[in-house]
Amino acid sequence: MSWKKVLVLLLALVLVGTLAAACKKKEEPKAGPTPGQQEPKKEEPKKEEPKKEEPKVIDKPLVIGMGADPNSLDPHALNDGNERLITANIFEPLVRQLPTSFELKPLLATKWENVNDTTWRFWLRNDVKFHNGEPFNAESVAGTVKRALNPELNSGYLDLWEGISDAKVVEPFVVDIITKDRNPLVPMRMAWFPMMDPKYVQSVGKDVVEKAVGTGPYKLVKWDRGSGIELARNDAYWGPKPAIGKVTFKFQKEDATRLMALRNGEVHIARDMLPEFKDQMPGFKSISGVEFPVFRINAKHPILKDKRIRQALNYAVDKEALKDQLYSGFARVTQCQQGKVEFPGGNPNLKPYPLDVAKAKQLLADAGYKGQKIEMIGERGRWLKDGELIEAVGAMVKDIGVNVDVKILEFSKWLEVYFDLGNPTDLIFVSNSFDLGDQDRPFSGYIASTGRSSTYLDNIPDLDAKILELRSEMDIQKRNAGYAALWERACDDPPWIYLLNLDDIYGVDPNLNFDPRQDQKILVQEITWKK
Amino acid sequence: MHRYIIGRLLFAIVVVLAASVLVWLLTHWVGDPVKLLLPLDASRDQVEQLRSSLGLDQPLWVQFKAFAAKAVRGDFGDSLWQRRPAMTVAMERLPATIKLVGAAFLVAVILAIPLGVLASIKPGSALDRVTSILALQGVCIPDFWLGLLMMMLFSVKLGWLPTSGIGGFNYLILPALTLSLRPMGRMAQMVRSAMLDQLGEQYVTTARAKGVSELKVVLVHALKNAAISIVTIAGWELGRMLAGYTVVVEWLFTWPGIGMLVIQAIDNWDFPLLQASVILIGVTVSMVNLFVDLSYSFFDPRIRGED
Repeated sequence: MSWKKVLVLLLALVLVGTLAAACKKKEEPKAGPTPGQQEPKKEEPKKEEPKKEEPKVIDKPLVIGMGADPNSLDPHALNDGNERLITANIFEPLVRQLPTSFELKPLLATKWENVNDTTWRFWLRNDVKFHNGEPFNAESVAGTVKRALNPELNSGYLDLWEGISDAKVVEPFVVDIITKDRNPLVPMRMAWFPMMDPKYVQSVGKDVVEKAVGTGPYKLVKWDRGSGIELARNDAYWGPKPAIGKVTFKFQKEDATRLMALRNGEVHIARDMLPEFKDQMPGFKSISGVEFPVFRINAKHPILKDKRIRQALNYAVDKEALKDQLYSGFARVTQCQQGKVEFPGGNPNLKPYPLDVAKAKQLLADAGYKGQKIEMIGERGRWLKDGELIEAVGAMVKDIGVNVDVKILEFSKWLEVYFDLGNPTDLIFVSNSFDLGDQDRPFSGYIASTGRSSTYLDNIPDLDAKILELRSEMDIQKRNAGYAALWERACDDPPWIYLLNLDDIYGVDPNLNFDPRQDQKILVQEITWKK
Repeated sequence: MHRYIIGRLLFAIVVVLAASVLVWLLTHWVGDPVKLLLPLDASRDQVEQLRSSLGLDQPLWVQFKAFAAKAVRGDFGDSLWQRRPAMTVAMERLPATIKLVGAAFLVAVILAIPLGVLASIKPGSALDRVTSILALQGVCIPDFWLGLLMMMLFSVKLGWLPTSGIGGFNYLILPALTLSLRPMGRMAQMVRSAMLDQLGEQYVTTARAKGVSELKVVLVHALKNAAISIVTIAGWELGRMLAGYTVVVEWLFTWPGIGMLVIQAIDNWDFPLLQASVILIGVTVSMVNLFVDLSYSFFDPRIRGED
C-alpha cells in the first residue's frame, strides 16, 4: 500500500509548492521615498549626445486605480471624493489651488476682487468653450451657481460653498458672486465650484449624472458602471495641451487588488494604498493630506470641564508611536491644533503635547480625579486604521490612571452618539477633513457654543464673539493672526485629544512623473511619462 | 403535475414577498440614512431637508405603504447614490453576475461529478482519498485568500491573466475558478455519497448479476438515480453562489455584478438600491429553486404522475 502514501505525499508536495511559489516575491521591491515627503527627483544619467531637441512628449494611455465608483458625474450632486477625482479633469472652476499649498491661481477667471461686503467680482477668460462647443461666459457662471444652490438639488457641497447666495452677470465676461454676509473665503470656495453649461444641463435633465460636459482638458468617452471610466484629451482645450491622450479610471474596491494590479502594470497610479504596502509597491508617493483624527472631549462634563484633566489626556498619548507603529510613518503629529500649521491662520509656534505620563498623573491628582469612569466611544472601518487607533489611545489613557471604558460601535450607531449633542458622550473619536484649509470650520463648528458639533465650554465670554468676528474678517493678515491666537487658547484649554494628520499614499509606476496634490485631486494634465 | 407547478410558483412568490418585507424593515431599522448621507458637520436644516425629501419624516407604516404601492409596479425609487431608478441600476449588474456564476457553476459541475463518481467506485481507495482531500480543500479554503493567491500566481508572477476587472474570456478565468471551488468541493462530496447509496442498492447488484457492464451500471443506472440528490445540491449551491459567494469574489476581482453592487449600496447607505438588489437576487434564487423543483419531475416519474 505504500504507493498510495507516496501519491498522497506527492499531492501534498505539489500543493505546498504551488502555495510557496505564489507567496514568493517576484523581485525585491524598490524602496520609495520617506513617508510624508515627495520622492526626490533622480538625475537621469547623462547621455553622450550633447544635442538634445525639445523633450519628446510620450502619449501612452494612463490607468488610475481607485477604490470606488463615483456616485455620478454631476460635479454638484453628492460629495463622495470619487466623483471629484474624475470630474476635476472634465470640469473646471474659476480658480485653482496650487498643488501643495492653499494659494490660488487663476483658471477660468483671470482675476478677482472684493467689491463690497457681500460681493466678490470675477473677470473671466473669453476664449473658453465647453466640450459641446458652447462658449463659456458670465451667464454660464451665474447659471451654474444658481443651479447648484437650488435646494432641490440638495448638493453635498453646500458646506464648501457656505455663505454664497447668488451670482449676477455684470458684463459678458464679468460676474459677481453674492454672499449672505462678509465672506473672506469666496475665492477658495470658488476653487470647489466646477462650472457647467446651464443650457446643456437643462436640456439633458436627469441624464446629467452620466453625460458630463465641461470646459476641462479631458472629455468623457464612456462610463462602464462598476468597472471604469474612460476620458480622452479635449483637443479644443483652451490651455496647454496635456501630454496624455487617454486615461482610464478603474474601480477596484479591494486595496490588495489595487496593489496587485499596480504590480502587474495594469494600473499606473493606485489611490489610497495602505501604509503596510510600502515594501510591495514598485514605487509610491505620499503627501500629507487634510484628514485629522482626534477625540472630541465633552468639556461640559463635570470632570472633563477641568482643563487639567483634558491636558492630562493629551499628555497621555504617545503620538510618535502611533505615527510610526500604526501608520508606518505615513502621518504627522499635529502641532496642538486641528489642522496644519501651513493652513492660513495655522500657528507654527505651538508644539504637540509630549508623552509625559508623570505630568499627566500629576495633573489628574491636582484636579482631584478619583477614578471616576470616563466613556470613550469609537467606531471601526470608516477611516484608515480607526479601530486600532482608538484601542491604542484607550490603552494609553488607561496607563495614566484614567478609568476609561472604550466602546467601539458600528458606524451608524456611532453616528447616533456623535449627533446626540443633548447628551454628549465623554470622549468620542472622529476624523475631520478640512478641504478648504480654513480655520473657521473647527472654531465655528466645534468650539463656539453655537457650533453644530460643539461640546466645548460655553462660559468663555469673549470666545464666541471672537470666532464670529474672525469669520467675516476681510483683512487676511488680521484674520490669520486672530486664528493663530485662538489656537494658542485651544491648545492650552483643549477641546480635543490632538493626534495626527494622515498622509495620502499613492502607488505609482516608476516610469511616471506624478506628484500628489494636497486637495486629493489627480489632474491628468499635470502627469507625464518618463519613458 | 400542474398542481405541483402552481404550488412551487406560489411558494416562490411568497418567498420573494417575505424577502421584500424583511429587507425593507432591516434597512429602516439599522440606522438613520440621512446622517450617513450628509457630512459630519451638516446643519440641522440640511438634515431635516434631506429627511423630508426622502419621505423619512413620515411614520414607518406610511413609508411602508408607499414603498409597497410602488414596489408592486416594479418601482423601488431612485438610487440615492446614483440618482437613477434603483431597479434599473440593479438590473444592469445582473448579466455580469449571471455570466460569472454560470461559468463557475459549469466548472464546478464538470469537476464535481466525475470526481464524486470516481471516488464512489472504490470507497477507501487512494483515488477516493485524493478526491476527498480535493473536495475538502474546496470547502475549507476561503475565497478571499484563494483569490488573492491566484492573482499573485497567475497575474503578478506568471503574467498570464489580468488581476481584475471585466473584459474578454481571460478576465473571467480567475474569478470563475475562485468562485467554483467551494461548490465543487461540496458537490463532489454529495455526488460521492449519493452514488455510494445507489451502488449499494439491490437493483445495482441485480444489474451486475445480469452481466451489465460496470460502466453502464455506474453511469446509466446509479447516476440517474442519484441525480435527484445531485440536482438538489447543485441547485442549492447555485443559489448560494448567486446570493452570497459572489459578494466576496466580485469585490475581490472588481467584477461589476450585483454582489459588488450590494456592498456599494451598503457603503453608500443607499437603501432603495439595497432593497432593489436584494429583491432581484431573491427573485433570481427563487427562479433557480423553481427550476430545480420542476426538474425533479424529469428524473422521478412519480412526481410527474402526481395528478
